[in-house]
Amino acid sequence: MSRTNFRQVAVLGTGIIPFGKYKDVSVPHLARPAVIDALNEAGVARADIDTLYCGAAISGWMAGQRIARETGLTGIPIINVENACSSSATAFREAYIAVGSGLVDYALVVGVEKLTRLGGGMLPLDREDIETANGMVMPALYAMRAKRYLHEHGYTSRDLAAVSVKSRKHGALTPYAQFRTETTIDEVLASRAICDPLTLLQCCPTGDGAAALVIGPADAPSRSALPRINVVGSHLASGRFEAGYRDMTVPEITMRCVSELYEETGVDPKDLDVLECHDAFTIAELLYYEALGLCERGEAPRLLHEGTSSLGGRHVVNPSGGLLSKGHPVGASGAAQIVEIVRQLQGRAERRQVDGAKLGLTHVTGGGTAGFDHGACCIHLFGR
Amino acid sequence: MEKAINAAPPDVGALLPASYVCDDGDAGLALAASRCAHCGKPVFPAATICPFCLSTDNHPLPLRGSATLYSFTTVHTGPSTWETPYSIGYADFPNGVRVFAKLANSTGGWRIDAPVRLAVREVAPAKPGDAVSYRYFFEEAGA
Repeated sequence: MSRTNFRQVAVLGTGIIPFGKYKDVSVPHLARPAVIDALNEAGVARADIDTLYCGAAISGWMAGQRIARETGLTGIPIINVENACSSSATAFREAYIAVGSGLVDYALVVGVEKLTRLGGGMLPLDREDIETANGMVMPALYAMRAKRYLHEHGYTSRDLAAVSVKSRKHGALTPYAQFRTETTIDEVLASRAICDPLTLLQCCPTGDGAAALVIGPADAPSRSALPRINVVGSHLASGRFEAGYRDMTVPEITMRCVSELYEETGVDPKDLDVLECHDAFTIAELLYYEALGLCERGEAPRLLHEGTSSLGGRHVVNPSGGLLSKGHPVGASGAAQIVEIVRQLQGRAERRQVDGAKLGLTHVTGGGTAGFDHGACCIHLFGR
Repeated sequence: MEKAINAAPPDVGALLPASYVCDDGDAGLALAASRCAHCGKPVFPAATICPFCLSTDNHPLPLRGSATLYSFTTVHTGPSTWETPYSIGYADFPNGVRVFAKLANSTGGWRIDAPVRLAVREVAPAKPGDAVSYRYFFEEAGA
């Protein structure tokens, strides 16, 4: 996007609830604690919030208005965003554009989802879709990527399982993760088969969650003792439709989105200290190491085994435990990633702190529909 | 040529209306894809308006015979509408079209990059007066 007259935007406040199963809690009540925490942290009065942006995929009409009713924010412009797994990251981007352009001074972004409404199991896909009608499910799409990746590069399911082991090691240190115990490669491989070669512990759990952020101009008077974290860049891509061959080991939409973002900001992936990426399944995290430029094609398992992406490594990926440990309440995940990266850059991530983290990235994609790699991908860069 | 009715396991592939298939003469039933006369791109299911260049000049392109299995998986936990386990995969036709379909069984010796064969079957109406419907799936090339 053009940067002419675009002002620097900062994250002023963050809020998140522990992800889990909250069958008896309504969608707005799930979101309320996260919204209140983000407002308090920012020190921005409710009356100063100009616009509310809400990301949710399957939580019903007007989730933003229902949340506003419970948080004293009614009457202001509210924009509800559905963009599959990228819903609240897209909502954040819309808020960023509005604040950066000067149209809005302070915006509240909230991501929420209540998957327990579905009664558990996999996400429902569109029954009009010819692939869904023939038995496609999201784990199967990733499983086919995994099978092809192992076939082409000569890795085994133990390399995949190592992603879950790393994730759970980080998740054990994260107060808001759903899975907070460590696991082993053997335990991951012995868990129930879902879609060959993916076992249960290689698939993100479902669950409910919410996260919120307050953003504003970076030069606004500070009303908070916390370090101010700048939005360094924001990019959104949609999938390209193909009717023919597609290399399923190359996440085309992520590569396109991130390369445009690196070009726009001048950021080199070698300088990234901490990342939250869309690890909905083990294979996804490996493919995204490559797509985000942390290593060459076919080298992701090496990066993992060397510890580069674990706490203590050069590029720590998913210090929160990622979707594999937190769960993936679809509409909440993008905002939750941003909360984690902001707190990491502020040096307040407690036992999972990435030492000296200065530059962070959030990456969320998703949406299964025939002929696409994915439907949407939204990537942000943050710095202090 | 006699067309097999319900020759495949009953739940292999979605039940589809006649618009998804075409009769490819002596070769039997085929899947109805189309190729855009303007930009040349093939697409399945067949398009009346090309999704790439919006041309309305789209020629029928029957898909049949052999394709190459790009990747596949066996689904052990799936939607309640299907009996598990079942296998699914993507295969590439020589004309460039990639088709996603169920595989004829979940016990076969399916291999990446191996040839598979597209099967298209008529399914008799559930009750008299209903329309005939169709299913498609991949079977092992030697089957």
